[in-house]
Amino acid sequence: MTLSYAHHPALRGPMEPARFNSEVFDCEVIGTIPPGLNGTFIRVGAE
Amino acid sequence: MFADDSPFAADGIASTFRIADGSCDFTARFVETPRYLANRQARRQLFGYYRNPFTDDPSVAGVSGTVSNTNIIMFNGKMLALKEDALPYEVDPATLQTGGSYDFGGGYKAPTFTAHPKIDGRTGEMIAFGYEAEGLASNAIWIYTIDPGGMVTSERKLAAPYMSMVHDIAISQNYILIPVYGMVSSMERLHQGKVHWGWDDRIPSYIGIVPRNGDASEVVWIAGPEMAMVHTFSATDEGGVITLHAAVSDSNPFPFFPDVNGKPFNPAGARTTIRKYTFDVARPQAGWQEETLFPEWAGALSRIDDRYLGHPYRYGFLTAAHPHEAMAGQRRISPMSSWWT
Repeated sequence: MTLSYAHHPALRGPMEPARFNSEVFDCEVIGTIPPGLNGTFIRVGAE
Repeated sequence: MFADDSPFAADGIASTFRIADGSCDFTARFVETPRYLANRQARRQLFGYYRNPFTDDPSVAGVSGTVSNTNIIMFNGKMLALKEDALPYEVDPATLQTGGSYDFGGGYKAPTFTAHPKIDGRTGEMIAFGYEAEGLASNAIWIYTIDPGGMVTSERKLAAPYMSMVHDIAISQNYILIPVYGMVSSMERLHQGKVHWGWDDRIPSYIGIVPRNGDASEVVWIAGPEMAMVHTFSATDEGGVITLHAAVSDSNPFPFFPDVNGKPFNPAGARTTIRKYTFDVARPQAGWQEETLFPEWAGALSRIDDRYLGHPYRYGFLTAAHPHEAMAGQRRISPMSSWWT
């Protein structure tokens, strides 16, 4: 949608919206995920 | 979005990190609220100021402006994206496709549902509520208990001392605690085309205390000075004395919700610290005792380990900054907390 966030003080830098749906299969991992870890981290945020 | 509007007005996007067998897959998808779908079809923003339908485009009159962006929970096998001005939206945990708004099979009657329902860590019972439950700018708070199977087991209707933002509550073993403070609105304000909330420093704050298993008529409102208790940690009670922990500021924490009398925003009053409150249920006229536990730490977004909700707890968590640990603190603060403190 044509919706400018450019001038909103709270939506800059790390808070700049990404504005896309996405799927990443097999993310790059820094380090090693513990072998027993099995679950989902769910979150919601404002875009 | 207007440059002076609240960042809370932005669309909600749900995301999952699915971790198994040493790998992680990521999915992110917007919650497809009626507002999101209407904007997408029009290719422009049709909704005006935060939670003010009188500033919306006429083409979306009667269309919900909720953005489902505040919290997301799993309950009774359902994933629910939450925003306090509307019902939960059900989201498929595997695909993040939006299912639609959810009212617990019709048992939840309020039009609004908090972003911070409390699920008792031992029994699995949910205590939820909606404020502005009888329409925009109404002071009605409707409280529900919902069993772990998703069935509504009780409904209680309260009238707050005045209409305000009730973003979070706390539960102890025997009580529900409801903070009411000067983040206010009114139909007059909304008709004037303003953002939903403004800060009024002339009115007292209150903590409402309701027995978890009692009637709405048993509510006690304890009055105190100006403060904002946006998020709580949790509460416990023993012998009729309640202890509540929360992240609290002395005045308005949100610069984008301006003072109703035009006073300039006061950053010192917005500083949010960890505070402990005690209440004697039998002596509401005595007010409350307040103690700031870690005065050098400023922080927000408080919570505890959910497994202890409704029961004694030892630890709390929040994003925080310390003036003497500026560099380390900068790295530890989430961007969200920097708006709030």
